[in-house]
Amino acid sequence: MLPLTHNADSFVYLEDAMPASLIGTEESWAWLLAPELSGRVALQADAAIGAIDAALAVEASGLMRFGDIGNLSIEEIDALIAILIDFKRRGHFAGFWSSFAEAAQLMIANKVAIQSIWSPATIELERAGLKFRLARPREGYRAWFGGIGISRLAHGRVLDAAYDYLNWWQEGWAGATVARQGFYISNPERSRAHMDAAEWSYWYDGARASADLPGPTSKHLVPLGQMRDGGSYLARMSRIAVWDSVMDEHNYLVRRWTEFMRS
Amino acid sequence: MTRRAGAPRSTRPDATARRVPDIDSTDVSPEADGRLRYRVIHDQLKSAIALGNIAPGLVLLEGPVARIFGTSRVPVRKAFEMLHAGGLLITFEGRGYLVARADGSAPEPLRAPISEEALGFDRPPEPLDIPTNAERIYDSLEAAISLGIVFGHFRIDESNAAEAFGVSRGTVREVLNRLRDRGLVEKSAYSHWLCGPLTARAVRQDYELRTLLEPAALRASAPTLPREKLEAALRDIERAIDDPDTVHAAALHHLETTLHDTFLAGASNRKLLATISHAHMPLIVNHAFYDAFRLHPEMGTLTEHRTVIELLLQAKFDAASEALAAHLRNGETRTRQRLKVLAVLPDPNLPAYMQRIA
Repeated sequence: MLPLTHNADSFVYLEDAMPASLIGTEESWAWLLAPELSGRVALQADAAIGAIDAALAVEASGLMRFGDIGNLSIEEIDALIAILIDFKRRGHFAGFWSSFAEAAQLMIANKVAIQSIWSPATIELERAGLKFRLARPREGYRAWFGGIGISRLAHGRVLDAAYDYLNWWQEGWAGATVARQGFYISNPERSRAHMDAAEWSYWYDGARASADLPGPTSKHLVPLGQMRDGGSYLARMSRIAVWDSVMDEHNYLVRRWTEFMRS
Repeated sequence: MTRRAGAPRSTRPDATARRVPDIDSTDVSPEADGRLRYRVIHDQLKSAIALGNIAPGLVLLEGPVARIFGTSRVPVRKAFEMLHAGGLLITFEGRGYLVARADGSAPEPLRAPISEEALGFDRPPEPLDIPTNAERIYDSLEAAISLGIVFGHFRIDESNAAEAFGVSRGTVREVLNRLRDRGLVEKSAYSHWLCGPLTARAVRQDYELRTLLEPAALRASAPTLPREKLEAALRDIERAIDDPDTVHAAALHHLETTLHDTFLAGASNRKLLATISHAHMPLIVNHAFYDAFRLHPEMGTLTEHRTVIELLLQAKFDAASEALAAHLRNGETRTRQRLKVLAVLPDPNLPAYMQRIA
């Protein structure tokens, strides 16, 4: 597989909705399970990613410890799901989202005050004028990467076309485009040629926007003076708590997570 | 895997067998002739005597031989009479028959317990009874449960299944008990039949067991494997390697059972073989996987099979059993990866007697 896009994720929260007990303390995944925020929390619905966010929150809250959050055992999955179902029955969660648009909507509609998030949603939150922060949790980020593989059934022209497509991803334009959504590409130097210096500084160096910058679409702009939470590429990527993975017990996790969703 | 090897011998009461004596009156088609009990018993004993696998002078009694074949005494009596007529068995001053010497002369009576080994069988004879209801529904239940456990945790409703198959609850229970022996279902404290969910841990444990045991079984079985069988298996695997796109799930399953079941069956340690057959869940997973995705076999699996068979043909039994161990280690990784992929499949249509718990 050719590794391409990657990022370090965490959660987002509305500054004005945070209780005094949390404001001023270091940001932590434990906030997602803070009793003060009960009823105003959302998680992502996807089992593979949502369970890792939830496990980070459970461990940060001191409710249990995991051997390897990236590869949970059957007993750990059972214990994690039991805790989550308990929180859900107490009404802790206001929603579960499946796309970044849904995530943005939950916050814009003022249903949730804190939730795990994917980068493009933050741009929607900005557009809506919300005062939010993307957390830099003391435990570290949940990182992920995506890539492309070629089917062994591809031959001849199809195989050539597949390689052309991989090459296109690496030529720089695609890398610059995903950068404007807050993602990183595996060969950033190629992207630099497709971004001006101010854009590069904003997205990769974590600098303040020295001009209005293009966003992911023509509708979105990064306004002059804005700065990303979390800092530079290096600052984010050197604070990884866990990488997304398809765990050995992925099958079991998905079935148990589905129970949590239905509970 | 052969389920017959693991299935208990017929429990058919003698009375039933007497009603349907040595001729299977319900099935008179020509190919049924080979299944006539007395004929199978006759042929097996005849070939064992001819090969010198039964000690001359061994006293053969109807009862113990009938038990080994899982039949009533009637077909055994008839087989004995035919063997006697052929000069392979001789009468003497006691109950039963003596096995004659190769030259037809009468040896001293040898009174020894009659076992499969004493009768010269390198594997248990096939049970000779026509399929019972339990045997008829075994495959369907096994298939439904094997598929179901990949997708969750289920309770199997006995009466629902009895209705679905048109058999008694006792019959369903008998089959479920056999499947429990195979490790496919379990019984809860409240006597509910439960199955699944299949975990990577269960797959790993099965492979660990198989990696420890199958090479030992192959080492023991290898010298007994007839050359023709090995050559046929090599031809099958070569054909699959040349044209993998023609190998469908059922054909792949056949290749798998040839190596992991048939080729091990010559090992004389029955407990060893039974334990191995209980650890064959991964074969079921792989079958479900290939079937679900209509995939053709992956080349690594095929070439590893070929290596083992080639070494067996060269009589390099130690190397063959090491190659089998390596194949199983690779198979574990492949099966675990397949299991992850199965998680993205939507639930299949399962029969109503499979009731989802989770």
